[in-house]
Amino acid sequence: MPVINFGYGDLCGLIGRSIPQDVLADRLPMIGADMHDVEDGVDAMSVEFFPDRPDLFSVEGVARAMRAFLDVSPGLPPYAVEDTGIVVDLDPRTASVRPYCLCAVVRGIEMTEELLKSMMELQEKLHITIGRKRSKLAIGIHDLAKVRAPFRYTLSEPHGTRFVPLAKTEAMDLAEILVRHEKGVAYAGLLGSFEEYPVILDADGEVLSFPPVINGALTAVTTGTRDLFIDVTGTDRKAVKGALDIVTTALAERGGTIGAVRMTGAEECMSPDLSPVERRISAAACLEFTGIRSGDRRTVTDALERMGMDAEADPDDPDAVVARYGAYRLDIMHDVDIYEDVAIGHGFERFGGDYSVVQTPGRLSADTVFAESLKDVMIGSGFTEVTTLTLSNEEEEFGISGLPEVDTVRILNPITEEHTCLRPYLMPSLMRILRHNRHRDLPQRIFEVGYVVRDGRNELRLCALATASKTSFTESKSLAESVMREMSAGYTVSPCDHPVFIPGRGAFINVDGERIGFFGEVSPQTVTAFGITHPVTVFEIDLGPMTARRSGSVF
Amino acid sequence: MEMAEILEGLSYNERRLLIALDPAGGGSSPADLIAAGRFDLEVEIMGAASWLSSKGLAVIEEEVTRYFELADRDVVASGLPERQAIGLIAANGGRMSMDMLSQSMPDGEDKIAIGWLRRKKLADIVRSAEGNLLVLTEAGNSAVDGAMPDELLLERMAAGPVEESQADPRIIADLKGRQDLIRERLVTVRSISLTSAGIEAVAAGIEAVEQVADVTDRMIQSGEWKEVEFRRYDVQTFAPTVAPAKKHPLSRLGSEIRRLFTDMGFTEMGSDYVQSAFWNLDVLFTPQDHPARDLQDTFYLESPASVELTDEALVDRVRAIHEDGGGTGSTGWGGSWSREKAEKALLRTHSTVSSIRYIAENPKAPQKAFSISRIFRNESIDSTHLPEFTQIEGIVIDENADFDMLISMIKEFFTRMGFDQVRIRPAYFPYTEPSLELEVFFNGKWMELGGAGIFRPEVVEPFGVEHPVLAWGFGFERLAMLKWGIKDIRELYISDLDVLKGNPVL
Repeated sequence: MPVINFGYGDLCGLIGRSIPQDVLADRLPMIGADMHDVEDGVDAMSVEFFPDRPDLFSVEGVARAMRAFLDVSPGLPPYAVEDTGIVVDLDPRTASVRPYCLCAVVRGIEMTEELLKSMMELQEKLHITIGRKRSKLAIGIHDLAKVRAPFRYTLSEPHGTRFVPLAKTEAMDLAEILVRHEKGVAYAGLLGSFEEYPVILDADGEVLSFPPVINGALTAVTTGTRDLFIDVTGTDRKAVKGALDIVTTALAERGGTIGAVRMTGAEECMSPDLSPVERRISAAACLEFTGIRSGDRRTVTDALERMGMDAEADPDDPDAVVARYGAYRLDIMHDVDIYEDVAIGHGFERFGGDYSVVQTPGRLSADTVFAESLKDVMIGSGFTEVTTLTLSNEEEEFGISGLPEVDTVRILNPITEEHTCLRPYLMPSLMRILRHNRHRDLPQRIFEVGYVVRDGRNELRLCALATASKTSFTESKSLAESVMREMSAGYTVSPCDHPVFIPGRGAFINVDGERIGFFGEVSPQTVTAFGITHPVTVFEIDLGPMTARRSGSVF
Repeated sequence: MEMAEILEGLSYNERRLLIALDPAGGGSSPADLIAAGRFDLEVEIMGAASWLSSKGLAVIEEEVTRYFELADRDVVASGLPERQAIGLIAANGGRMSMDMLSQSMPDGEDKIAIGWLRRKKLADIVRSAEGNLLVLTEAGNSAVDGAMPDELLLERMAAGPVEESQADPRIIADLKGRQDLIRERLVTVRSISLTSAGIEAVAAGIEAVEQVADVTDRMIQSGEWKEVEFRRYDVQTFAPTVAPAKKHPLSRLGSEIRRLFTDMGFTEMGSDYVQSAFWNLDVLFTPQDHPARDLQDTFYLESPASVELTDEALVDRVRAIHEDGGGTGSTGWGGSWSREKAEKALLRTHSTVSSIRYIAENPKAPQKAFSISRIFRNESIDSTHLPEFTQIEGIVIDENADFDMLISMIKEFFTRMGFDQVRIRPAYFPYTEPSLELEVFFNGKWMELGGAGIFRPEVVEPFGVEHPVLAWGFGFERLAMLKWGIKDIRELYISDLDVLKGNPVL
C-alpha cells in the first residue's frame, strides 16, 4: 500500500484549521487508512492508503478529504479552471504507440521544497499504482516558462530527436536514452517493439518529454518555478484523465490556478475537464444495504457531503439522491461504491447493532469428521500429530525417498529449490520432521492426516512414521492393520518392491483391487539420504476410498 | 505437620526402628539395630532412619575414619627393595659395588633400593678403583637383623587396616610415596538416635504392625486384603510424568474454531489448491492487470499450465462484467478481458475461492459457510512469512443481510474467540464493497487481525444471488502465535517434538 509522508503542520495548513494531532491520528484511519504510530511532538506523520484511492496519495488530497470528513468544509470542493489559450496538437500517428495524451496548466504556484517533494512522490505513486509501472500512464510536470506554446504530441524516429534528459548534462537521442539513461533502461520494455517513439515538443521543437521514459532537463521544475505545464500520456484514457485530475487538483490545493489547454488533432477537447461525475442512487436501497435503520435521505446526503461529495435530495423523487463527486474519485464503479462512502461518512464506528442472523444448521465437512476420528485412533496408538507444508520438491518426493514417481503439480515461479511442487506423498514431509528431531529422545512416533495433490486435485492421506534404535516390520504391519480395522475397511496385503523399502519388507494395502497405501521397513538408503540415524518404519494411505463411504453423518 | 499426623504416616519399618532405638536417646549402630529390631538388611534400617530423620524423629550421625591397608601383599613376603639390598650387601661383607648389586637386583629394582638406602642413611657410596661401592653404615648394620619402623607398620597392615591415628604420619607419607604399596580406605560409622520428638513419640507408645505396600491380585482374590494394613503413602513423594501423544497445537486450535463456527450455524466448505485464475481472481472481479496477479505475488503452475473453463455462459458473463459491467450497474474495468489469462493455473491465493465456489453452488439464502484451509503466496520464508499458510473465512447469505449485520456478526464471532474489543475501519479489497479491516484489543494493544466486506454485485450477480453476501477472513497462524507466544511462524510447520511435548493441551 502506498505510504504518504507529510508534516502535521503542513496538513493543518492545507485543511485550513488547526486540528489536534491525536484527533487526526484517530480520525484518519476512519476514511480508510493505516496510520503509522505518531510520536508525541514529532511533526512527521505517515499514513498508508489503499490502492483504490489514488486521490489520497498526496498530503494535498488527504487534506481535501479530511476537510470534508471533519466537517470543516463538507461537500465537493470547487476548482476554477481558466482558459489559457494554449493549444496542444495530438498527432494521430501516436494512436498505435501510446494513444492518449491530456495536458493542463497550473499557474501561480509557490514552489517550495516541501511541495516539490510531495509532487514527485505523488507522481511516482501514480506511476506505480494506477499507472501499472508507467504502462497505463506516465506523468510529466514542466516549468511552463522554459518553453513556448503551442505544443505537439507526436512520434519521432529513435535517432530523429536529441535532447538533454533529466539528470544528465549531455544531449542524447531517443535510442541512446533507452540504452544509456537509467530511466531509459528501466522503461525501454514499454517501447521495445515500436519503430517510432512518442515525444512532446514545443513551438521551437524543444523537447518537453519523451514519454513514458524521461522529461527534458530544459523544463525541470525547481523552487523558482511559478507556472507548470502537465502532460499525462498513456494507454487507458480513464486512467490518463484520472491522473491529470489528481495532479492538477492537488496543485490547486496549494493555491495554484488551474488553466485549461485546447487539445486538437487526434482528440478535440478542453483539458483538464474537472466537471463532477453524477450518480443517482436510491436512498432507501442505500439505507437497506448499509443497515442504517434510523436513517433517512438526509442521513445519506450528510454522509456523502462528509465524503467530499455534493449530495442533493431530488425534489421530484422522494427516494432519489444525486451525488456529484470529483473526477479524481477513480474508485467509484457502481452504486455500492457510493453506499460505502455513505457508511464511511456515517462513521464505521456507528455500525454493529444486536447480533441477529437467521438460524442455519452448522456442519463440518466429511473430510474433517473423518480426519478427527482417525486422529483419535493414531493418538491412541501413541503417535504424535505433526503439521507440515504441502509445498515440496521432486528431489525429496522421489529422488531420495525411493517412492515411485508420479505427475506432480509443478510451480512455474518457485522461490526456493525446496518448494518446487505440491507433494504427491506425505512421507517425505514427515521424514523431514524426523530429520529435524534427530537429536531428540527415542522412540519417536509421528503422524499427519493431510492433503497431497494428485492430478491437480486434493487428496486426503494419512502417514505415520516410527523411529527407534530398533524397529520391526511386524510393528508397522500391526499399526497398518489396526488402523484399517478401525476404519472398517476391507483390505488385502501384497508385497511391495519399491526401493523405499528394505527388499522383502514392504507391502501394499489394497482396497477393492486398488493399491491405496503401503507400509514396511524403510530402506537404510532412504533413511540416511534424509539425514536420519535410526531405523524407520512407515505407513501411508490414501483415505479417499474410506471417506467416500462415509458422508460425515452419524449413520 | 502435627505429631499425630506424623505418627499416623509412619511405615512398618519406621515403627520397628523407633521401638528398637534407645528410648533415652543414646546412639546405636545399624549393626546393633539389625538384631534389636529383627531387620534383615542394613539398608532397611538406613531407609527407615532417613525417613524418620526427615520427619524430625531421629538423627543419623556419621563419623568417617581413614584407614590404611596394603595394596600389594607380596611386599611383606619379599621385603622392601632396600631390605633386599641390605641382605645382599651384608652377605658380601658389608660392601658391594653398584654394578654387582645391579646384577643381583634386575629391572631397575637396584636403583629404587639405592635411593631408599641413601634416604634412610643405611649405606654410603664410596668411590674406589672398582667403581662406586655401597658400604653399610652403622644404621645399616643394625638394620640387618632388626626391623625398620616402616617395616613394622607394614606388618601391622598385613594383619589388618591400620587406623590413621595409630600410625606415624611421616611413615605413612613415605609409604604412600612408593608406587601401589598401600591404599586409603574411608570407613563411615553411623549412629542412629532418637531426637527429643522421637523420645516423646516412643514414650507415647508405638505399635509395629506389618503394612502392605503393593496390592496384589492374590490378595484381592484370596480376601487377604481384609486382614492386612495398607501402608499410608506420602502423597508429596516425586513421581515421574510422561509426555502423552497428542494433537498438534494448530490442529487443536483449528478444532476449536471449527466448533465455534458450527455452533454459530456455519457449514464447512473447501476447494482444491490448484485453481484457475478465473475462479481465484476473475470471478472475484480482480482486474486482469492487478498487481496481485503478478508472478511475484502468486504461484503460477508449469504443470498443469492451464485449467480449462467449461461453463461458457459464466465465462461470457464474467468477461462482460470486466469489460463494461455487463448490465450489473457497474462500469467494469474497461479494456478487453483475456480468456487465456483466466485459464492460467495457479495455487489458490486465498480461501475466498472456496467461498465463491460455494456461493456458485448454493446461491439461495439463507447460507452460512466457513473454511479453515491452506493458501499459497509467492513469499520468501522468514519469521513471520511462509509461502503456504492457513486462512479462516466465513460467509453469510441472508435476506436481511446488510453492512450493520456484517459488523455485528464479526463482533459476535470475535467475542466468542475471546476478543472482547473489536474495532473496524474502512479498507479495500477488489471483490468487496464496503470493505473493512478489523482490529482486536489484545495484550494491551490494538492488533490488526483480518478483513471483511460485502461481496460486490459484479462478483455475485453471475450466480443469481439476490441478497448481500457478507464475508470475513483472517490469518490462522497469527492467532496460534498469539495464543502460545510463538515468535517464529516456521516453528508451527517444522515441529520440534520436545516443544510439542511441552505444549499443554488445555
